[in-house]
Order: sequence, then C-alpha cells, then structure tokens
Amino acid sequence: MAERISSLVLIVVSVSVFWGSLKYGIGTPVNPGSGLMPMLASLLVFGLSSGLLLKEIIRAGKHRGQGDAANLGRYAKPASLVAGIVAYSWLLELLGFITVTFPLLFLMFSITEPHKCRRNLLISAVITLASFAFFRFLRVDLPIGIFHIGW
Amino acid sequence: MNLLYCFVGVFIGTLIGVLPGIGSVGTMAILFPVTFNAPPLGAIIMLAGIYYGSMYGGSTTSILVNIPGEMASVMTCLDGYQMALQGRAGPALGISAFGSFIAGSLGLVGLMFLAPALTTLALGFGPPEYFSLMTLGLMILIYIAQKSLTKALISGGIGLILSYVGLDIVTGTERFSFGLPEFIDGIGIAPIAMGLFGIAEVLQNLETTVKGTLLKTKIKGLLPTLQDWSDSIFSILRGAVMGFCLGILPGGGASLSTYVTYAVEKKISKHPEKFGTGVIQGVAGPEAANNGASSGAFVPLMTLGIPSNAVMAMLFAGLLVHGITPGPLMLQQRPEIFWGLIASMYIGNVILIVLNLPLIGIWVQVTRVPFRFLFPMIVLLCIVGVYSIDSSILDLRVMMFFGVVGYLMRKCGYEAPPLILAYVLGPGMEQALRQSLILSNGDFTIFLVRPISAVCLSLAALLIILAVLPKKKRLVMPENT
Repeated sequence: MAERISSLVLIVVSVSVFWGSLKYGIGTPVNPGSGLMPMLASLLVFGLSSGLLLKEIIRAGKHRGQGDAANLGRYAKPASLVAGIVAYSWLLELLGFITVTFPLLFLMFSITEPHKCRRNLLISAVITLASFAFFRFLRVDLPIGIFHIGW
Repeated sequence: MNLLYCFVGVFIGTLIGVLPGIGSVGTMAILFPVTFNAPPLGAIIMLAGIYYGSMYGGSTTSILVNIPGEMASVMTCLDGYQMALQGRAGPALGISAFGSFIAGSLGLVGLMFLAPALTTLALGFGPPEYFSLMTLGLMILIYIAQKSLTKALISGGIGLILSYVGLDIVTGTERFSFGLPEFIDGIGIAPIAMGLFGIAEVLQNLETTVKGTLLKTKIKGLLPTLQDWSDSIFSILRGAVMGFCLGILPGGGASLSTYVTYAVEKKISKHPEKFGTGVIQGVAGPEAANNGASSGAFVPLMTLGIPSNAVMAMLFAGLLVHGITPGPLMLQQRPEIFWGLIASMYIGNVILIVLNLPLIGIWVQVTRVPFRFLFPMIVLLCIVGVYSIDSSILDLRVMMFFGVVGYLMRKCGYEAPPLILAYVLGPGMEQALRQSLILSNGDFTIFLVRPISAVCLSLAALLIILAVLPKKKRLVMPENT
C-alpha cells in the first residue's frame, strides 16, 4: 500500500511539474528555456514512478490477500512530535520563544517517558531557560511574543 | 580564531561520531546557520572538522557497543567489537586512532599535491565537461545506493526539481515559487538538509529505538604494541591509499572505501577465515580508509567545484553562502581558503589523536546517554538553527515538511543523499547544459565530440546498463558481510 501511495504522489508531483514547465517554455535547442530542465527531471520521475506503480499493482495482483498488517500504534510518537512542532511553528512568533519552547520540550520528554511528569517539567524548564540564555549569548534573534518574555 | 573553529569542529565531529543516530551531514546541516556569521575560512574549517572528526568518533561505538556511530564505521564493528569482547578494546581503539591519523595525514599530502595539478587541468574544462562530470557524479552516487536504484534515481530527480524552484537567472522567470517572495531565491538548503537528515532521523529513532549494550570492560593498553603495529601497518597504508583514491570519485566516499578495503584485506590475508573474529587488520584497514577518503573527497570539490557526496554538498553550500565558488579559479583567486583548510586539517588530525586517546573515558560516558535525552536537544537545535537564518517561520515549516518527507522516504525505501546532491548540482547542471547548447548552436553532439565529456557520459551510461543487470552482478554496498 505504501509503495502505491508513494508512487501515485510522485506521479502527481511530476505531472504538475511537467505542466508548469511547459508554461515556462522549454525553448529551442539553440536557446533553451526556463522549463527545459524541470521538464526533463519531471519526465524522469514520472517514468520511474509509473514503472514502480505498475510493478506494485502486478505484484499485488499475484499475492492477493497478503497485504501487510498496519501497525499504526508505532507511529504515535513520531506523529506526536510532528504535531507538536507544527503547533510550535504557529505559536512561536505570537507567544515568544520561552512560552512555546517549554511545552514543546515537555511534550518531547513525555513522548518517551510519560509517567515522569514532575521530572519532565523540571528538565523542560531548565533547558528552556538555559537554551534561551545560550542562544542570546550567540546573538540569535529569538521572538519574545506578545507577552515580551525574554526581552 | 581559526584554531578555535577547528577545535570546535573536530570536537563536535567526534561527539557526533560517537553518538549513533545523527550523522555528520545532519550535524553540518544543524550547525550550518551558525557558520553564516563566521568568516568564510573559519566556517569551512569547522564544517570540515565535523566531517573528518566524525570518522574518528564513529569507531568508538563500533568497537565498544557494536553499533556504528557513522555509516563509514560499519565495517569496524565486525572485528572491532570482537576484539573488545576478547579484552582488547584498548588496542582496537588505539590502532583505530593512529591508523586514522596516519591515513588522514597521508591523504592531506595527496590533496596538497593533487589538487593544484588537477586545477590546472580543470581550467581547460568547458560547460560540456562540467555537465558530463556532474551527471557522472550523480550517477555513481545513485548506482551505489543501498536499496533500490529506481528509487535512488527518483530521489535524484526530485532533488533536481527542487533545485529549480525560484528565479531563473538567465530569463528572470519565477519558477514554482507559488507567489511566495521567500521562494524567489529558491528553497534554502539548510531547511531541506536539516529536515531530511536531522528531523527525519529523530522521527525514525522515535519509532524504533536502537538499543546497544555498552561493553563493561576496562579499557587499557591504548598504545598498540609492536606486534599490533607489525600486523596492521600495511593494512593502514593500503587503506589510506584506497580510501583516498575512492574518496576522489564523484559519488564515492568514506563508506564505499571501507567496504572495499575490508574486502581487499580479507582477500589478501593469509587467514581470511579469521576476519570477523577479531583481527586487527579488520579494524586498521577500514578506519584508515575512511579517513583517507575524507581527504580525497575534497579533491573534486576544491579543483572542479563538484561535490562528490552529500557531505561535500553541504561544504559546497557553505562556501557559496560566503560568496566563494569552489572550483579551479578558487585556488587562484582565494588561495587562503584552500591552504588554510589544508593547514587546519593537519592541526585537526593532531587534536583528534589527543581527543580520542587520553579522553576516551569521556567518550565512553557519552555513549551511555540515552536517545530520549538527546533528541529534544537535536530538535531544539534544528528549530533555532533554521529560524535564525532569516527569522522566518516559513523556513521552520519547510524544515518540518522535509522532516516528514524524509521520514516517509525512509519508510518507503527512498534515500536522501541522491536528493541533496542533485539539489546542489542542479543549478550548475542547468547552466552547463544551456551554455553547451548555446556554444554548439543547439547541437547535442557537443557532449560526445569532446573527449572528457564523452568519457564521463559513457561511464554514466555504463552504470545505467550495469544497474539493470541482476542484483548479484552489481557492486552493492553490503549491509551485512
């Protein structure tokens, strides 16, 4: 299933790029246009992805009913981290580095050891403050947010 | 100040090499923004130090924990860990450090003499030669892909497509920028690399944690005995030469050189059956090879301006950020960069011997740090690093996007190095292709009538033909020997 989905996504991407390349113009051999190299690259990706998809369909047809069992539970930790960082990116400039980094760190420590709540809180607080001081020392410009924490 | 950059680079490189999970490319990507404020020479010295420092550090976990700290240390696990089990961890670590030092130093001598000579040759290269050489380099990296060749080619294609996002400098056309002003200059390499190698690695390790058991043994006798030297000196010298030569090849690198060296040592040994049971040649050869290769890899970058692997691609990007274009003209116009780097690598090698032998106890303790404490630091460094480039939230989101993409790529068997190399080479390839066609008045045979270009394209074509042969006939980097 993963093979088919990834191949389909690549086919869609390559077709989109191909279409866009034609709009930019591929030019002539004497005067190649902006769309030439993207078009060639998209053709490469399209051809190979289509081949992979076809191969996978044939393989799936031969081994009907022998799909791999999806174990979605193991994706919980990576998914939690992704969700956390996405939320972080939306809130960073609004609430400021310290305000948003602390819960992110707490989330990350809790992903692997959810039962050690107090320890995770303490470590998150210490690392947030230490990292803020460290990056300020390196003159990295970090957002202070609407609460002006860290100014 | 450059000495400080050198020390920081090799220290971090050793640390990264000791810690399995994040490799030198990921670390260079994470520290990339830090180098923006450094002077060009200092930045390159630090980034280079991370690379060859990680070659030293990777052997520590290979020998003590049987987990390679770096891809280039995989072969060291085979005999190094066995030596440790036999109570000979000290000699294994010692010969690894000394072998790395000797090979690194010899590699630098080779770089010193070969690079200026090749630069003279490269000044005669034109756009067709550059296009063909870049194509060959990309094909070699794809050919030695560990998993599927088709998927490696697709990764390369995606890398090329990504490299064309932004303004076409010839026609002024905005390509695939979707109206976002941040994408007019293209997608930055830092968010892509940090996502693909840093965040993706963290996500993968969160899903499946690699556990290793640190060998509980007292490490003694770090200085190899006369017998150890007698047994391993020629392996070190062979590894140094093979590593350097293979490191020069576009698409080559430290990993390939260690596999080849191990295979050669086993082949020529009087007792090949003992390899894998704890023979010192099985440690000395590969460890020398990976450091020889790390010096050799600088040759195509410095002389031709063509990065030979993902690590060199990061260095290439680092030089570009500082307005320095690697290539034959760099040696003439900015000799201080080249010779300053060489000098720093000599000093770096000495620092590494000091770091890796007397301070081995510290690195042993580092190997005990669980991943659950490391990954939040890595993520935080990635986030702040990428945000600090332009104070742009979009860069952070791009990094996250490529982090997820990189993670899914790994799940589906697609490799990231061809993507990043194609991304770095893409603009150069396009420029070389266009210039070639303008030179030849639209005649594609220009790539075949010029000898160097014809040879490179023929080799690339040969690799494609070899690639479609059945797997057993293809040279593949072995995952298990």
